[in-house]
Amino acid sequence: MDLDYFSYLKEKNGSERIFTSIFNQTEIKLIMWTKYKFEVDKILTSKAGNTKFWINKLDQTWQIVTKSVSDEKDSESVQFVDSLSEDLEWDHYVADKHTSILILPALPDRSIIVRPKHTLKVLPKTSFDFFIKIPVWIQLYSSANKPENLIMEFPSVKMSSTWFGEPDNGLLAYSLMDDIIHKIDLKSVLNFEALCPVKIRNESTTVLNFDRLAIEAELLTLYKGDNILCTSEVLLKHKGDDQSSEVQIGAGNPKLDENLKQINSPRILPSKNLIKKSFYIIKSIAQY
Amino acid sequence: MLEQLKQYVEEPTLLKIRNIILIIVFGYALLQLVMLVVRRLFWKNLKQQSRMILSKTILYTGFSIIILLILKELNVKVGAILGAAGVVGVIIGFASQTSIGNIISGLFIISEKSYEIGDLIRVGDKMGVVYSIDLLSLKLKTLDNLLIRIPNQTLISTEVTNITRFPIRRMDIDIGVAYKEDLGKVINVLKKLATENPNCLDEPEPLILIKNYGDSSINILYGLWFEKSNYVTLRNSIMQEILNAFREEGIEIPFPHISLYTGEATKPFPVEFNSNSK
Repeated sequence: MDLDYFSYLKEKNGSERIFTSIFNQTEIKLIMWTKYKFEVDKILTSKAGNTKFWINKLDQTWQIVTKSVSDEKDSESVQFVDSLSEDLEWDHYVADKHTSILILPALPDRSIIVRPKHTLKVLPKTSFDFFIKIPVWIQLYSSANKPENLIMEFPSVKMSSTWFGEPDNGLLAYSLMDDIIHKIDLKSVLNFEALCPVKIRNESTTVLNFDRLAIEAELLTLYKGDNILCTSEVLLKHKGDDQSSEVQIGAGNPKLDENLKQINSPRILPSKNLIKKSFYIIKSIAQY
Repeated sequence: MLEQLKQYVEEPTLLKIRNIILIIVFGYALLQLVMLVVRRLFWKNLKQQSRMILSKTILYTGFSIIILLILKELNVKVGAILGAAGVVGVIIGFASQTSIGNIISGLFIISEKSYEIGDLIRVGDKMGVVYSIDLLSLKLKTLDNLLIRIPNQTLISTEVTNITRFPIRRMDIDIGVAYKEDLGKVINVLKKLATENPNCLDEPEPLILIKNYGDSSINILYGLWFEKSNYVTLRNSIMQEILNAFREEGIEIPFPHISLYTGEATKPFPVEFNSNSK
């Protein structure tokens, strides 16, 4: 079922439960993001995005393997198996003697560069709302969500690297090839993807050519609802091509679902207002 | 024991020795304490280059003060020594113009900040990581772990390329394809390889330039942008991938060859058998 975010904002005053009711109609289950207790001689196996992973516990050592698989991006529920059909090269992590592992989603460790399929022109004094789907990283904690308990983390989907800015001064980031979403179709949001609500406000007197956008994923908080992962809201105020954009990260739960709870904190704590050059109008870079 | 010593040495001399020992011990300890405090407070935010300059400045200043205090304790007139040092300095200066030139060049190099400790640079035909920038010379650690000393005066008048100054770089690969090949297809294959290689950046976009018509091939420049630390991984992977992709697509990378014609390209080269030849 679809819902225009714009319509949602309009209707929000009348009913704030619109999203909740929509989420409940879907069959998506976020079964992966929880704690799993290990039994003797059992191996945990699962898949998120195009990464398969296996976890085994031997006394004080966690044995973990991650493997990129090229087939379609999807997720498999967590299973415990007795043995494996394939030989794996395990990585060994010495930790405490806890026998439970916590699997949590996290946002990527670098900024995300969003490239809409078509350059959008946002007229002066106009706002524009949309969503982007960010493939999450998977963090494995021994027993509890504490920084010192983090065993390892890995991306569910390997994103290609890109550069944002000029070759001598810019930002190394991940490239998000998916288009921006104007309407939420929950069936298209997989459980290793986090929805990031973005609002762009063109406060300048000229048309904003929106062809690249840097979202600083390290500054966003990750929330989990009954059936969805989403991030803090991002508000970008564009004040002109020659000026830096003002970025505001929404504090508190996004107003998408009242059941949202914080599941992971930002990698870097954001300051209230971030002045960043968030838009990038393609400039011809001397290539030869 | 002190009484026994007093038989041989006068008391004022003993006091001086004691004071000098105290100056050395406490001076050195104080210097170490200052270094410790500076390291705790500022080290984290400083680059390796700045750390080296700061620590050397503190140490040289500290040791100079200790030496001056010792001289004072020995009742040596510091002013006279400095005056003499000035005269001696002029003499030494004339005698060692190269060294002074190196020192001044070193100061310019440090202030110019064209490269810092840890940067990979190329000087002439030598390439290596900047190991240290000293008063007289720059020490370069080559990639095969040799240490090269280059005088600062040489450096200031030589072209120096800093390879790792910026976070991203472009790797240029020259590729030659046979004249019979469809260049559109070749370009598409190269674009696909750049997109699929994880070490190659999506943006700036790869440069694919048809450079010229060579003797044996059409030459293409293939420039890929990458994060500077991924040079070896990208080079090794992309070279293999180009070869494999060209093999799969049937694109020929020709070896140098010469075609001989007898005036007209359409006629075969005439071969004549001479029955008289032995």
